Amino acid sequence: MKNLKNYVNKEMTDESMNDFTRKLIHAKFDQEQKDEWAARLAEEQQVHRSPSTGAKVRRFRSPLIVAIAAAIAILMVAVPLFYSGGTSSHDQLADALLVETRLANPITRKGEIDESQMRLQMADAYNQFLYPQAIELGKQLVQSPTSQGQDFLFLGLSYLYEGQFEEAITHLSAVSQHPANGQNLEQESRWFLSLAYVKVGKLEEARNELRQIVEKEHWPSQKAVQLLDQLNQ
Amino acid sequence: MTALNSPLDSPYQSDQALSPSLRNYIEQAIDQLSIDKKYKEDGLRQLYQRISRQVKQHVNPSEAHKEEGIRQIIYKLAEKEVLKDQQAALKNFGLSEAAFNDMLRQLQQGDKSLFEKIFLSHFQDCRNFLKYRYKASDEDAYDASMEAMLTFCKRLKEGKIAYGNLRFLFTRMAGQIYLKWIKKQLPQESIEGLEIPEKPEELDRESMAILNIAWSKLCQDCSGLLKAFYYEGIPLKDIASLRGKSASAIRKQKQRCMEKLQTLFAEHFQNNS
Repeated sequence: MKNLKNYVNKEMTDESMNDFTRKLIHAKFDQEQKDEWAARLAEEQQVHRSPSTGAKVRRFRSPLIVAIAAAIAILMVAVPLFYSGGTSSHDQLADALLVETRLANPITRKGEIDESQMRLQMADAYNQFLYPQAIELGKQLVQSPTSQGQDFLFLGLSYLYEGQFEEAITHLSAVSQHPANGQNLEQESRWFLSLAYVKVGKLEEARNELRQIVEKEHWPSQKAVQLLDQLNQ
Repeated sequence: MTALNSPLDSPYQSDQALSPSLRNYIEQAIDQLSIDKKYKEDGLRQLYQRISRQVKQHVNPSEAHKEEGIRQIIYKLAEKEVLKDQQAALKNFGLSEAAFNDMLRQLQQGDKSLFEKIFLSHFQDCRNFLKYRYKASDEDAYDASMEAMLTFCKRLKEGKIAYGNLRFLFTRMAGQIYLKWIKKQLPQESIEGLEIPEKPEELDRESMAILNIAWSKLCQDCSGLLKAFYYEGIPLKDIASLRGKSASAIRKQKQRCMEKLQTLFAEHFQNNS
């Protein structure tokens, strides 16, 4: 911190002393707050700053390394990002489409498909927007030897609406690998997978899924075109 | 919840301009959608009023005898209103506007529990966003998300962030903090309420340890006063009235406490070096 020496040697004007005291106190309590949140993240969610050391990384890298890294990034991945217009528009569009195209779970107590109590409970939880409950039930369903593609789909959707996008991607990707899937499930999972990719910023993966929806004229191809356009802007 | 016939029994402050059967259909739709499980009392009442307004606009009272058709229309209207709230909640970490206002009130009263519950549960999403969007390292993404959370908390307390799209604002703030840290050019667009502060000057680990020792040696009166004024931003005249002292007495006390902290810090600093 600048002026630390002057502070220690009491060589400061009243105004500088006031400013410096303010900075010291902010540094202290900001750090305490961050430490408290870090401890809670570690304890409650097993989220750690660094799995190995916990030491702070250097922020200011050598200009040469920065230049080389930037050049590689531009060549390899970053060019489309510069033309993407930021994340706001496509991210917001993905949010809106998530709501607009939300599927209802077709399993009902009165319906033909009365598979199991747990599946019914999961459908109820999902349909009532109780995603944490749906996730708990869905996790058990997909572990079962008789698990179905729709179990993966609705578990993926529950994760998606709960904001756990990586988990959503894992389970939505698994739908297409399930042998009992019909075309509808595959189309639906592909669409929501593309939205999940947008949400985590994996835009190239999102584009790939959306292109397939558009090329095969699958559901909902018009919305896929809309989102693809936004991603390509 | 069961559908209620008497407006006196209704928890929604039923709209008396609507016929009892239409009011009943609205309550049945709310019941069927299990909306009551997702809303607090205020939110439920507001939702009911919005559905009532929609019903007045879209349902012809002279056709109220077409019971099933009307029932379906009202169900669809209710579903649409719930979806609107879902959309808003998706953009706002699952918070309704009423819940957001509760969180603000709590924050301003010094209670961070709701803020922490919400933002800590989305911390990892924000970190992932920085990693995927900006190719940030794990540690940089963690630090920038943490800084964003702290800044967001302060801005909320100051009333500088409004309900709308908190998820977008939070991740964008973390992104801009990260970009500023690595000295990349900031995006051209600016977002209201999202001025990114200069990176706070960091105190090295040894100086922080010395500061903590010096702070622990201050009397409680001094540490409380300095924290209230410098960190919580409470004006001296307010601190004075809270403590039943005159503003000038508090100003002098603050000066003495500041000098005491400096002396304690300097002693330990010199002992250390």
